[in-house]
Amino acid sequence: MNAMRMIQVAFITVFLVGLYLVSLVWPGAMNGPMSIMEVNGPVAQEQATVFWYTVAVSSFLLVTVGGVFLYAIFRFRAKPGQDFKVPEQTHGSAAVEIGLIVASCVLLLVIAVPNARALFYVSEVPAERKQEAIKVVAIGHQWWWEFQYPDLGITTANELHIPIGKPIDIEVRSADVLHAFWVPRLAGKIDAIPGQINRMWMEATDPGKYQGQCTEYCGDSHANMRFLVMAQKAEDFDGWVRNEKKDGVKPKTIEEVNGHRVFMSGCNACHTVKGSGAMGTKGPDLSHFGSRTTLGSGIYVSNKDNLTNWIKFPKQMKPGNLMNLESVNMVVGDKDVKDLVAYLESLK
Amino acid sequence: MSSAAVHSTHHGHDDHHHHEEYSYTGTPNKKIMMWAFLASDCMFFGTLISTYIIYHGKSLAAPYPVEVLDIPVTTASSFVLLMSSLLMALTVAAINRDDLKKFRLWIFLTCVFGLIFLGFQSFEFTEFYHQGLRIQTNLFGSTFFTMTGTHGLHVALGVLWLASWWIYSFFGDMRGKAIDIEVTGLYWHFVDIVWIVIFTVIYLVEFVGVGA
Amino acid sequence: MATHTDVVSTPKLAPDLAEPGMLGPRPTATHGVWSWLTTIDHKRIGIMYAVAALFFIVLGGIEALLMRVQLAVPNNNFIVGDLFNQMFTMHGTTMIFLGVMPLTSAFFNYVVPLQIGARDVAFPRLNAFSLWVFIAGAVFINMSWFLGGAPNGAWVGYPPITSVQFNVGHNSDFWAIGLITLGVASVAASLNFFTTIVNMRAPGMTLMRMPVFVWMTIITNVLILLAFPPITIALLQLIMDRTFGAAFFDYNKGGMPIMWQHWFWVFGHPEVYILILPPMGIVSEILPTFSRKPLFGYPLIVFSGAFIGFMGFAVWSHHMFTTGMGVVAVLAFSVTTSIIAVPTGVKIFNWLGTIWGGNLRMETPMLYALSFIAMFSIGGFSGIMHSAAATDFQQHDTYFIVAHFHYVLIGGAISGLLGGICYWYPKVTGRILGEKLGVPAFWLFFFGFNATFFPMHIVGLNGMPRRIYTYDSAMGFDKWNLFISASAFVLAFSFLLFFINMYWSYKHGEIAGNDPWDGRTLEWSIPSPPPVYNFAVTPTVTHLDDFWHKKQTGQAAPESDGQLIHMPLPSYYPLISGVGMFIMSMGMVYLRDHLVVATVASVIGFLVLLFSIYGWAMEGPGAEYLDPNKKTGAYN
Repeated sequence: MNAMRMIQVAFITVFLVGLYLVSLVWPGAMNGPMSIMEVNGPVAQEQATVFWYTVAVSSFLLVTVGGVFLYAIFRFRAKPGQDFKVPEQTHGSAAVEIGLIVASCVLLLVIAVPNARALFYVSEVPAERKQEAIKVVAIGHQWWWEFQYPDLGITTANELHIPIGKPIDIEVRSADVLHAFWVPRLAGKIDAIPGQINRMWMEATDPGKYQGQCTEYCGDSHANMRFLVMAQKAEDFDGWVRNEKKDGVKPKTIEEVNGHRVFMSGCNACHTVKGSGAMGTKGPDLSHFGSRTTLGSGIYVSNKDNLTNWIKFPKQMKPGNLMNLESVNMVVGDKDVKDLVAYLESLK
Repeated sequence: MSSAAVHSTHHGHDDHHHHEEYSYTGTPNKKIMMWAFLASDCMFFGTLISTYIIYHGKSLAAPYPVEVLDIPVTTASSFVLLMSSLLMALTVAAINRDDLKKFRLWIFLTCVFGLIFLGFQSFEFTEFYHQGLRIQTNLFGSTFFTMTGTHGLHVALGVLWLASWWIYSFFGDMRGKAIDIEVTGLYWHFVDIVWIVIFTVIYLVEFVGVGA
Repeated sequence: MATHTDVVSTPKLAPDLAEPGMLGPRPTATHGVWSWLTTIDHKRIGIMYAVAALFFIVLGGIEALLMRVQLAVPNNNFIVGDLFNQMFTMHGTTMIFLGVMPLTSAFFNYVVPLQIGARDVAFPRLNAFSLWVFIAGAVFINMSWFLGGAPNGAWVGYPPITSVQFNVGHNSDFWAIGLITLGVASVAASLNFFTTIVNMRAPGMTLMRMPVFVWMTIITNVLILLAFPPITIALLQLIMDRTFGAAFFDYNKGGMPIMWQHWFWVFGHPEVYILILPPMGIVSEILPTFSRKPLFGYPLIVFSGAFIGFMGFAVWSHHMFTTGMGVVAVLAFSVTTSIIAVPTGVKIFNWLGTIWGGNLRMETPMLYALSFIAMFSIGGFSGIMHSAAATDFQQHDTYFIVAHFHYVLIGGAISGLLGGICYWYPKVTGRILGEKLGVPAFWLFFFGFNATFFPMHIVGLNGMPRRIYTYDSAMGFDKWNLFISASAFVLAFSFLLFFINMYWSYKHGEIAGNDPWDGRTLEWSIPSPPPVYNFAVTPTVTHLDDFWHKKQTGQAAPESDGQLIHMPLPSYYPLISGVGMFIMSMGMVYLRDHLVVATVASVIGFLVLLFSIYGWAMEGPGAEYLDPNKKTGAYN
């Protein structure tokens, strides 16, 4: 029986330590598109550094306390036939208690100092860099993100373009319920709260697409409220800005012209296409929809099939979808949908 | 017999067996429970009052507090409620002296004063309603009606409790019930004290504001 | 169960005289359903709490499994959107309010009076009232599944998602009103236990001679008394908003949704300690018994428990680091939070000190207690990780947090509670909970739990947000999620084994006798199951671990001196008041759309409640006299 018990305890130890180590070193375990361990910006880096401090302290405690714990279990197990032996009755030791309390406080200081420093750093764009910061207003809606660049006069949705190497000063708001703006590889999250303005900042050091997601529960399609941050080299970003500032492309082909007509028969109640006469603000700005890579708040690749289904079966494509044609009394045939898709895709 | 009676509640009326209720501290169970309840109730009103203070001055639509609050009237009703506390103290003193007649008189008057306070409150509520202050109107309406309404409910339950004792005293046995009356009294005093805080926070603060 | 056998009584010496104005007869059933429905015996009430709590833990577990099926693979279509949201809302609400809290309540009920040498709680009928109101609230909140949809605003219910503009059904009404009902039950029970522990202790049991479980119980109940009012008011405000269009959380009228979060967590954080302190108390009972040594540093364990409880009110905003409170507030709450690690650490060190140098018997209660220490510590370490606010901005609302609180609540609280069931099962049933099935059930629980929840740390650090019903395969969450879902079934199976073992042992288990573990506290000095009056002679306490001390010094348990024991009588009224609360709650849900009918229903419910309160007051506790020296058959 004793050998059995020892095997059991050893088994658990190996199991726990194994899991712990595997999780830390296993390549691919924590470097996904939303990893908070492998990051691409100074804000997220600072946060990850504090995390490593906490890991260091916790690991130290795990090893020491866990070691003492396992040793005690092995060492002081009742010997066979001595189940009811009474050991020496000790009640405690003031010296040991005080020593351990002081030691715990010191360990906490190891975390507290870098934590405090990092908190001030991540909460606001450093004063000397305020000049070069790009201002962005991120507004959470059920279930998509609106991005405004107040200094550039641009409004877009679900794909936030930023230049690399520049601080992005973000003002986070909500149009309806609570949301949270989070791009793990660039910075920690901040809540979007109606009637309140929250601020955060981030910066990308490398160009690329960074996955973001709403992380405050916001209803039916909370899981489907994703977005992308496109970090670009300065010249690419400037090019994107120039294009965004333009009006939506005028319809050219017969299909696009008909698509535009269909668009103006209802879609315009909620959506804006600059220069086309559609000025709705409930839904995403579609002036340059055709240049976006995703659809439905980052949950589908933007292509003809997905867009067609999106228009025809909005609720199936996204539970609770507030985009639907019935709400604006639109009835469209297959031909009209096809043309509408053509028009939308032309809006580069 | 005392150790054998380590059981629960007070049981003042029992024709054949009178036990001393066991109590480790010497304080009756009911009294300890009431104090614990009042501690809990402090948090209850603390939350309501904090909400009121946090939302003070944040209403987006009229009528605002200064426009509707009638401080003289409420001062009068507050005075009535405070006096009822005095009457409650007399009630407890009477039952401790086994003076049933006085007890009936004082507890009846406590009830009546409580009812007068509730009357003032309904008058105030109707008045505000006519001046356009509803629970939906603004934050002042929501916080005011919820807080004073909750307090009013406390007063109403207190009146019901006191009235029940008054009626019971005519057909029930009041021997050994002094502790119960004392506990009722604790509740009643607490409700009055809370009103002083509410009165200060809602009315006096506004009065000071107007004066300045 | 508990009190079927070995209970002796004499016919009543005094006829049960009707008090003047008694509104109805007293219950007379001594067997069967009615005897349980009308009982005021703390032991039977404790058993009913436990049975109800275990039922709801199974229900909450099924909800969890359904969610795990949905999350097993990316882009799954098993349970999507709103239904999934109802699942996790009800999973959280059920596990916390209908599972763990009532299970701790079961232990308070059954164990505390026995440990302090009392014959019942201070207010036996109030105790039954708490039980029936809890049942009423629990059934009520689950009725929503059949009446248009369960609550779907997450267990934290943050407006505006729970405001009527975004939640047009009655989902959140059931939630808010149900929680208020459950709060009434909890506060009533806490008043009772607070009074019981302050006032019903046997002579000589000073505060510093109380078993640690009793200490943790009184601290927990003080926390309940102080923490439930804020949530009750917040829920009332939410109901006002939803039903009467008040402005509390309506930002269009200047209300601040953030205020809900403050009220919620002013309650919510102490609530965490309400869930964990009782299991800490249980573990502090099991470890000394199975190490055969006194608890190491008893005063420090007690004071650290009280300090944790106190600090519980000073850290609530650490749940709100990402709400934009301002960097100074965040830092302040970050520091107070990390301070809690110290008393928690003290407890763990003292438990280690207890087993150090002991003679450890590795039976199931001890296995669960040791598992508590290990798993709770791991939950504590991840707790340290997000007490550092800077990094919590990343971890908040991810699976890293889900992993953390499940380590604390399953690895911690449930481990401790299952240990408590194993530990006191012989006292309750008179039979030992079988080791043959018990040990495998433990190991399955241990492995199933770790395999389910440890990988959640990893997916959390890899960026998986919580409360999402689906995820994309490109995110790298899929491998671990499949593993987690499979492990969840292993964990569920361990519970099934545990329940089978409970049933089997009840029928065929080894007879326990008074003191199967060589226990240290008073409950082991009386028969298993205990007679209705618990102690034939009220013990006089002279030491901490008094029973152990008496055994060591060879002082025999006092014989009954033949004095009759006065016990109160059962009552219908607590049950009736539960029914009244249920009707009243039902009426309140529909105030918004059927004002008249709903008002009438609420008033009827209130009148039923009022009737029961008057009936209760008029009948008095009653009295019967039991003779501990006569075996005249079973009493109930």
